[in-house]
Amino acid sequence: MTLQATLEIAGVSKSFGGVHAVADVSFFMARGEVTALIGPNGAGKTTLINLLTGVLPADRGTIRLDGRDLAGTPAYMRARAGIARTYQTPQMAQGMSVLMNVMAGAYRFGKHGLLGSLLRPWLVMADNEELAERAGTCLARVGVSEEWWGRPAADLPYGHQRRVEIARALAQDPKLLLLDEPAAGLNRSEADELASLLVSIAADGRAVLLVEHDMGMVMSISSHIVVLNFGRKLAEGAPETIKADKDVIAAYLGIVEEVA
Amino acid sequence: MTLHKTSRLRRDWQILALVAALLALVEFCVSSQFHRSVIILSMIHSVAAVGLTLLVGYAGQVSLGHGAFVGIGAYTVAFCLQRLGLPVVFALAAAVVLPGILGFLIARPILRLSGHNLALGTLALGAVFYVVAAQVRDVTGGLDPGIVDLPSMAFAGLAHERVVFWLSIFALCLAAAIAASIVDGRFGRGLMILRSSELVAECIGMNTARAKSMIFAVSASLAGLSGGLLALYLRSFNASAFGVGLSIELLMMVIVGSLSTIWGAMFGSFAIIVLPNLLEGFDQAKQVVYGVAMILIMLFAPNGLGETLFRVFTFRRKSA
Repeated sequence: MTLQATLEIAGVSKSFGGVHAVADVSFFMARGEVTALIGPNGAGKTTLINLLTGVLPADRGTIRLDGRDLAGTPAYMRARAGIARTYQTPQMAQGMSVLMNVMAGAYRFGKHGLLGSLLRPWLVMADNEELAERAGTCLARVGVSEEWWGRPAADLPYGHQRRVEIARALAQDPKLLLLDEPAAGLNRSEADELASLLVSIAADGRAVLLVEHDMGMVMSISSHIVVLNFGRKLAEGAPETIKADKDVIAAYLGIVEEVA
Repeated sequence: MTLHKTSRLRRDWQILALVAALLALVEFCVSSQFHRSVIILSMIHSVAAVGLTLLVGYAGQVSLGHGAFVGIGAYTVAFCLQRLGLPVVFALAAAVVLPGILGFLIARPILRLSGHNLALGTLALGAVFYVVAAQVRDVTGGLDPGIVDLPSMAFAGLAHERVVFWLSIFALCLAAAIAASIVDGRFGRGLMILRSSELVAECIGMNTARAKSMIFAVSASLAGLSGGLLALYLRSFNASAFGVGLSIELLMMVIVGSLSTIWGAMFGSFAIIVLPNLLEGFDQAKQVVYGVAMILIMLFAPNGLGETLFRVFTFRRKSA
C-alpha cells in the first residue's frame, strides 16, 4: 500500500553557531494520520516546527507540501499554503475575544483587503459574518461552548486557551497541523479529549504532527513516530517498533553504553 | 443572535452617527469664539490621533514622529493653494495622498526597528522634518515668515471659523469611518494579533512587513489630513508648529484617550487641548500641574482616561 505523502522533508538542517539544532532530518507524513515527533528535551523538536512553519529559515534541505517545495518561502506564504500551528505556551492575543482570536485564524479566507474595507465597508460586514460562522464551527468542534466566545481570550483557563488555539489553527483549514506539546498542563480527562480530537482532525484528511511528552497519548493515537535526539533522527516507525527500539530506550533513560 | 456575534462594525457606525450629530449640534449652539477655536483644534487633532491609534494602539508600533506628517499635510495644502491655485478640495486630497505615499516609503526601513528603538527612530524622523522645514525656505517660508495669508474659507455667507468647523466635522467622521472599517475587519484583527505577537501573525498568513507599512501609511495620511485642516484654519503658521512637541502631544492624546478603541482618541484630543487652558489659573505652576495630571492618568488609568471613565460609568449603572 502506498500513501500519498502530504509533507515530505529531506535533509533539513539548522545550526546555531556550532550547535546542530536539527541535522539532516528526513521523513514523510501522510494525510489522515497523526505523526508524532518525540525526543528528550533539547532534541530539536520545536526548532523543527519553526523550520517547517518558516519562522526560522533552514540552512539546507527541502520541505515539500503536496509536492511544492516551501523551503525558502516566508512564514506567511507557508500559512497560506496550508500549514498551521499551535505553540508551547498558548498565544492568545491581548484585548481580543475568543471568537475574534479564532476569526483572526481565518485571515487567509477573508475576501476584503485594506483598500476593499475602505471603499466597500458593507463587504466587511458580510465577510465578518461568514468568518464568525467559520470560527464558531471550529470552536464548537474543539469543545469551547458559546458562553465563552465573547470573553477576552487571554483571561480563559489554561486548558481552554489550548483548545482555542487549536480552533484558531483549524480556522486556517490547514493541510498540515503542527502541535507543539498540546497536552502540557492538561489533566488526564482533558488529555483524553484532546487525543480523540486530534484523531478526528486527522480523519478530515489532514496531516497532523504531534510534538508531545505524554507517551500514553503518543503511543495510542500516532500511526508513525519520529524520534529526534541531539538534532538527529534516531529512529522512526510504528509505535510498537519505537517502544522496542534499543537506541530510543537508551536516549530516554540515558544509558550510554552497556557495562561489559 | 447573541451579543458577541452582533457586528462591532455596525456598533461603531452607530457611535459615529451619534458623534456626528453631537458635533453638528455643538456647531449650532456654541457662540463663544474661544470655545469654538478649542473645539475646532480638538477635532483637527483628533483626525491625526485616530490615525495614530491605528498604528500605536492596534498595530502596536510606536511613533514619536507623526508631527512630521501633520506638517507635510499643512505645507501641501499651502503649496496647492498659493502656488498651484488649486481648489481647497484638491489641496486637502493632496494633503492625504502625499503623506500617505511618503509614510509607506519610510515605513519599510523604519519599522524594522521595534520598541524603544522605533520610538527613537521616529523621534529622529520628526526632528529631521522640523530642521528641513525650517531650512527649505522656497516652499515653507522657513521660520520667519513661514506660510502667511492663506485664503479665508468664508463661503456662502458662513464665516471662516464656521466653514472650518464643518470641514473638521466631516474630516473627523471620515477618519473615524475609515478607522472603524479597518479595525472591525479582517485586517484589524490581523493587526491585533500582530500587536501581541508578530510570530503568530505570520503563522496565520499575514505578511507582517507589508501590513505594518500599510497601517503606517494610513496613519500618515490621516495625520496629513489633520495638517491640511490646521493650515486652512490657522492661515499662517511656521515649522515650529510641527516640532517634536506636536508628535508627543499626538501620542499623549492616544494614550490619554484609549489604546484599544478609536473613540478614545477623540476624547484624548479634547483633554489634551482643553487641559492647558483650564490650567491657566495656576499661572507659573501650569507645566507642573500638567505633568502631575499626566502621571496620575498613567498611574490610575493605564488603559486610557476615556476607557476608564467609560468603565466606571457603566459599572455604576450596572450596580445601581
